[in-house]
Amino acid sequence: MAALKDIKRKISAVQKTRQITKAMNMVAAAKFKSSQVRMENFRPYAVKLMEVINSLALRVDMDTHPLLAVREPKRAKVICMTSDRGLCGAFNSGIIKATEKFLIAEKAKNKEVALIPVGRKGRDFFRKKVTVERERVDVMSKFTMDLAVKIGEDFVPQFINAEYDELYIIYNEFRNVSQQKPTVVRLLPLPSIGKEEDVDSSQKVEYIYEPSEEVLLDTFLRMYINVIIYRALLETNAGENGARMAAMDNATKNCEDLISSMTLKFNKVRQSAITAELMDIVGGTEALSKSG
Amino acid sequence: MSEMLQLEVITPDRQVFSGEVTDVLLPGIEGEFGVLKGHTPFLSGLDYGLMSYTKAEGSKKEFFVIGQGYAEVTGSRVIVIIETVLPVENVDVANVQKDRDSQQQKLAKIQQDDPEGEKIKKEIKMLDALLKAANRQQ
Repeated sequence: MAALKDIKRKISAVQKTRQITKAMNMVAAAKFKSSQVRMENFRPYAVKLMEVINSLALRVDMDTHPLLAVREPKRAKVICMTSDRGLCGAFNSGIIKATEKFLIAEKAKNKEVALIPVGRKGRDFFRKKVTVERERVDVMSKFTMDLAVKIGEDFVPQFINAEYDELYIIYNEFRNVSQQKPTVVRLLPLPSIGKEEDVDSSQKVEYIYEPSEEVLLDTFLRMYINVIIYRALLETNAGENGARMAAMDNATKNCEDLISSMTLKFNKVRQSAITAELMDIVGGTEALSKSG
Repeated sequence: MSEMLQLEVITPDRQVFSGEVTDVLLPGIEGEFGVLKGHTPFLSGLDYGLMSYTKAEGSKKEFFVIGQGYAEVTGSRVIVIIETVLPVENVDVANVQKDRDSQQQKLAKIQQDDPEGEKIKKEIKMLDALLKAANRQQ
């Protein structure tokens, strides 16, 4: 009978786990929805800003801008974006693997590489392995454009002062709930913008600038960097919640499978116990009737 | 309809407005400016202040307080890219003043180099602009 009790206890434990994973799935789904809305609301901002920068790039010579300065790449910095919390499937391990691979490849080119973790999981993994700089943890649950601006402000002046030569950002590009793709983007030096060949000449009209076009270009390029960082943050956020949703959905299903197989086993054990008892009784009465 | 301008107002959080208007008034860094159709191409920084536009001839002006940002004006289109925006409508002046005062107190309490300071200063500037706008409307 002890086996029966054990199985029963196990079943109720798994049932509790299922309740938890189900709740986490629902929470993640709600968060995912809101982060998806944020992502969609941000898109027009990014698109319009690009439009303005592109049209500005047509009229202003931007090749001399310090943010576009290409130097011999010796020192690189890598922003690695992960989530703060686990239980979201392979979301973080994918990013960490991609980052490790990237770091090895860069080091093979004799570059000095420093890592800038955004998100606790990445920080915890790399803390003891490589040089870590200006980490930001516990930011993913609640962030605004300000966070992107701050990250940008940390590293843009250093680049202009030629303290390092390249800035990369590695994040999970959001495809759909169950699919995120680790992506590496070079942030600095900025690639040339708006260099299409056949530009409509009517767009090349003279503009009035307030303040001067150099100042405007400078701020726009900085904004552009912030926009990329912010988008990466948004995609990481949406991806994390999407991945957690999928992972928890899987976990709930696994719990259900486990429960049904254990219930089957429980029934079998109980049945065999009953059968054994019956055999005893039948055996006993038979023995009695024979002796009588 | 030829007199209409295409206006788009966008913040990182949402697209605030997209549609046709007859005129736009914007708080440029070097002074307020108005835009009508056919304006010279123009790119300007924007400062905290009051933005307004009219959706159709004769209809009421709509007012907004905006944060820092940029406006690109081409002949028939205005794109306004800004940090934040607040509608100016039934503003409770006393309440806003109270908000502003509490933000000011918060600012006084924190350290000089606290990163929160920037945010609070911005908030105060928005509320200032909102107060100014509200007083002007009355």
